[in-house]
Amino acid sequence: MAEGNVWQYYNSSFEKKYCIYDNLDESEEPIIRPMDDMCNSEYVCITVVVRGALHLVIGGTDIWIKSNDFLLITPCVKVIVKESRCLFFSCYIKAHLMPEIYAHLGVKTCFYAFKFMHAHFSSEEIAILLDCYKRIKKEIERYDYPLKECSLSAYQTAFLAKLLSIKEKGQWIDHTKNTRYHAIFNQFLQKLHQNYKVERSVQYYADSIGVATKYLSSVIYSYTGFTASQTIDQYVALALKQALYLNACKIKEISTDFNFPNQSFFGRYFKRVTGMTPNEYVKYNNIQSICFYKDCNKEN
Amino acid sequence: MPNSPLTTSEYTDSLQARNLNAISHPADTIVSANYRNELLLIDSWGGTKPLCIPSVDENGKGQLYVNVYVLNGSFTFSINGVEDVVSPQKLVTFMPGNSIKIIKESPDLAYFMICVHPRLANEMLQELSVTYFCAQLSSQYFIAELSPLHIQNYIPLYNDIKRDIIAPDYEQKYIYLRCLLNALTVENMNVHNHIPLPAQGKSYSHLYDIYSRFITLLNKRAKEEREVQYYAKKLGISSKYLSYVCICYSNKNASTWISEAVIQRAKNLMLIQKYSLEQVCTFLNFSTVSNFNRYFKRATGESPKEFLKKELHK
Repeated sequence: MAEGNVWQYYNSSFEKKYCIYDNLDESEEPIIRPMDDMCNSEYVCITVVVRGALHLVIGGTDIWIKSNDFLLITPCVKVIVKESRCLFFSCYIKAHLMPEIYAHLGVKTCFYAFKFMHAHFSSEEIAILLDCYKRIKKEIERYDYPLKECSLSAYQTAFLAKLLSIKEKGQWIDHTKNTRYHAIFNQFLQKLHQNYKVERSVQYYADSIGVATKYLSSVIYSYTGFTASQTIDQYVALALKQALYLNACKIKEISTDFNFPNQSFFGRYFKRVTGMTPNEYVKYNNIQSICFYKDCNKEN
Repeated sequence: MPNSPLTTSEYTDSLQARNLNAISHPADTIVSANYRNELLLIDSWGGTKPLCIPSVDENGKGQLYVNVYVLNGSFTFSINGVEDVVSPQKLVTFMPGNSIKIIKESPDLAYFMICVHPRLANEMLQELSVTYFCAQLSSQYFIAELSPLHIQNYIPLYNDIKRDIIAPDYEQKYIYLRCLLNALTVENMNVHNHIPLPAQGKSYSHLYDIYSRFITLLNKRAKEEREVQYYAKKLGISSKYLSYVCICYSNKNASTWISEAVIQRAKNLMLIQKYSLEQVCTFLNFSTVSNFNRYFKRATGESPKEFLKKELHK
């Protein structure tokens, strides 16, 4: 393993939409170096530990992912990787692609962000998932051809379909510590999901649930690792990114849809939360919106 | 040569155990895997099974899309009276509605075959928004080259599909098989089409993005707009580029796509008999009935009245 090399694993991605990481080629369980502050703000992360154990702090919870364990992390959760030794593979899928996949699989999206799922399976079931993963890996490595994205998304959906089929056979590990916290957090998420376009202040949500803002912040911090206002911003940013993927040319529409007072405020807000202006984000992710011409706004 | 995991007797056992409604196929064809009579897999890696086209109706016409991947050996077939030979490392696709007879096959013929029911095939093609057929042929059959790389991609997919069909049923089985079939269809497209290189600076998926937006827009607006220029302007590109993109993915240019969509809607409307021709052409935004008649005849070769007469006669 090279000293200064951050990614000592195999990694590959297709246009930043589908990414895969693994260290399955190593012979002994290699060391996973600690990483602070790995916030997957836009990806759904699916990790399977084949052998060994992975030590993570997800939000505020300390977790050990052991052999034959499966972990799914939805976006906007702060993850800290502690030093561990394991053989793993993982797939990252961009959040805006998930609704379509969920629709194909007939899964009602009960949660979209801030949650994670942890389960333990038997070796045979993990072997099935590993086969699906190898197929995805082989497909990503192929030369680019016109329908590559179709076939990649088909293989990814097949992976998730297999996962759903073995879902019942796994032991799902519940990490809720405090039922009162849990209830408040779920209430907050529900209200956030209903009102994120209109209300973005912590005071509003604290009032609507009926708790003090400081208490709400501490509850949220124990789940996501962020304060309440940061969490709200992250969620709004996720929704904005999805809107940009669908419609990169209609920035004005997006800013009115989300009730920003003007376009410049929208640009500044986006930059404050994500570190990039909307235009930079579109360019960075190569979002090929064909309507990105000035006179396109006159049609429609 | 890859090993097929089940022996012949296990195939027949599994077939009988599932107690399927027998679709008519000659007794000596043993289907390797059958999913709800919509997807049939037959293979013979070492020349053990004679080649036979399954699911033939009383007139001898095939009812399924049949793809035969010939790895070794060759066979001669006749389709509607015309003969042709398939040599090794070729993929031959037969369209439904044709009577196909296998005349001769070499003793070392090694093949695998995938047969898809038209209903399932149309669903998949709509999902992928692509057409499978070369525009030139009147859609009876066509043969394409299989490079060793293609074969390397096909065989694991085929075995995976077969293994999953034979395995016990589970809730997501249909979705899983559909995903694998989509990937297989993409492979077939790679084999059949000769995709030209993308325009400088653009990756393939930019082209695909334009193509899928065009198809979605077409599905929404085909009843009002028939000009290529309209769609191109909506997408922010020139009409020449739009046609280029369509040909990249489907061998049909943009105006062929548009006219096919309009004709399909016209036919559907006409078959709902309570609408008169005048009403149909108002729905489809034609200025006069004679315009509509001319458009229909130019696209399909027969006038709307002739088409209606033919359909109502059935």
